[in-house]
Amino acid sequence: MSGLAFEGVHKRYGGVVALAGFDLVVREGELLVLLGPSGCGKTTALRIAAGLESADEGRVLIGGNDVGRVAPAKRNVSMVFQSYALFPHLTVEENIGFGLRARRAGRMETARRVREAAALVRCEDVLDRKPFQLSGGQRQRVALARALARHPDAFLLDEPLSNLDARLRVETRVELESLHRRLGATMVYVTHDQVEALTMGDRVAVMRDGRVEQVGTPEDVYRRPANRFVAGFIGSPAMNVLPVSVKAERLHAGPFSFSLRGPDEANAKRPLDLGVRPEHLAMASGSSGAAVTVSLVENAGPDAYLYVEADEQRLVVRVDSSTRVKAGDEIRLAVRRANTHLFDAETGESLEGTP
Amino acid sequence: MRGRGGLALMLGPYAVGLLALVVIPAAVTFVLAFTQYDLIRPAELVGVANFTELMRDDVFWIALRNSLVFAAVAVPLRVLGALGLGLLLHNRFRGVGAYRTSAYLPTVVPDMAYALLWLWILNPLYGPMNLFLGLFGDFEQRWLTSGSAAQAAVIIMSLFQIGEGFLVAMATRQEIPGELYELARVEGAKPWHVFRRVTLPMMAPTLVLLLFRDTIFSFQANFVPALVVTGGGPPPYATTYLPLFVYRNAFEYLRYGYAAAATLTMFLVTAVIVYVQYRLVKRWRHALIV
Repeated sequence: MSGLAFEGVHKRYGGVVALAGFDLVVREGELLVLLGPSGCGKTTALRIAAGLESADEGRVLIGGNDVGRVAPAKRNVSMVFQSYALFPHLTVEENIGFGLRARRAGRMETARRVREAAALVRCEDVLDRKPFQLSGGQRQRVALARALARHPDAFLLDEPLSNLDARLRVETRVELESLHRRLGATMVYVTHDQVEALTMGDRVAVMRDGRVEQVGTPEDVYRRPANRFVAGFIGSPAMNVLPVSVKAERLHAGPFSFSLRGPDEANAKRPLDLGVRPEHLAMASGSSGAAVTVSLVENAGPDAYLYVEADEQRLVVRVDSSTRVKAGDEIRLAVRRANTHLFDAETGESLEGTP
Repeated sequence: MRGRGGLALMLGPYAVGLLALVVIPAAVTFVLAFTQYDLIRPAELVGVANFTELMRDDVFWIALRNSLVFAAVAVPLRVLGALGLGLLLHNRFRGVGAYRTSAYLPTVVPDMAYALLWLWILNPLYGPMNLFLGLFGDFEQRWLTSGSAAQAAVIIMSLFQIGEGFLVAMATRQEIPGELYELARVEGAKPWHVFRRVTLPMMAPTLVLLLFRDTIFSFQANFVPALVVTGGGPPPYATTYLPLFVYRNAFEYLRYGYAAAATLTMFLVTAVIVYVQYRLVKRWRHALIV
């Protein structure tokens, strides 16, 4: 097993920039999730690592070696495609053994490794079937088994769960996580689904416009977003962002205000935005907190989302769905400064300092 | 234009054409095969006399042998040619449109013009074929006066009219998802392995269809070249194929009953060959594909 690194990788297709100075280190044995909106270049990065595309500039290292001129076959990586890319005319067994046969691994060895890989993803009982006879979940397992059979140095997974229905996706996610723990394999996992990213990743790299915006543990990117983009992209519903004004030694943002203390004092000289997550807004009783008016209530099962208006700002609040509130009600909201994030309004950078 | 009325209205022209141009002539041919008919005297029923005569007719056997040899050589070459062109030209690259057009063009040239063109190409004195072969030494052929060279010429002529097969092969290749090839690259499959294990099996159903269709076609295809370019010769009957044999008997010797019997026989031979191919493909499918 070995790690993977991108150093200043640039890639453009005609006039479209897919990667613009992409830097990332994937440590040996970790599951790193590339997360970002569609078109941010995450799949391109994966394809460059696999050798299916070449970088215009920059280097890709696998196990410390520059693989820029190494053919895909010689990189010893496995790829799982979003569409699974199973050969429709081959049985499950032949699909799993495809790479081994192509590399002339020998009949006995191929059979042994196919069985072993099939057992890992629990698809031993469909080995003689053709892909069209399988369910979506089974196809996904077969694609995974094929990647496993060759014992690659790294796994490259391109949105492997996105074609599954919601329930199966959760099941397969859990299986994939436990598989990763058992194998200790280096995995790069591309997704646009933040729940997948936060639950599966040892670390998450949030991408935008061909660059990495932040790399960190799921907790890092959620609790200490490096900038307004990461803050807004991670979390659902998205973080509320309010413009800040400074008056009388206090920060005012929407209905909230905080006394100016510590590093905030230095920051107060520039235009600021304050971010606060819907789950960190709490309903207050009595006269504490700020008064707001509820304009809409959305019930989402265990939670309810309250859309509230205050000082011409619209905020989303996440509360327990048993909370008795209806549209038109006036409620009071409170938030702790520790649960908010200050951003430079112009650059979007976080001003909370690195922990 | 709704329901059955609309359906009948739209199918009407085709049904009328099919009836008038295929069903009725086929039925007439079937009946004629058991008669003696020369356009002047009324047709006279002669039972299977035409068929027994065919079995004793040396020219018929030569024509049948020529047709079988033509099919045996031309069909595999034509299918391979269509496959080769399809694989070469399925990708987008600079100038691909021009290449595709030139691959298809000989197929849309009217048969008669195409035949006249080859009459010039194969001319032993000033034809470009011999001028070209002359560049490599003493390879000039008496294309239209030596028996085997004339047979080769008819086969060569047929090899350029594969536009339809080429289009079908190309479209089939384009339908194979690119990810399968990307996966094969990552998995380390060599080009031959990819061709053998991915491309060929995934194109196999289409190629089999092309094979059947071309076999049927090949028993009829060489009529114009045999008539115009080689005239059925050089003697004795080197390029007399079944269609020309039928044509001569019907329109030159006015033996319509006999020609109809030959047509029916040709139809049966074609049917038997396609059936045998079908059985072989069915039996070998697994071996061929995996």
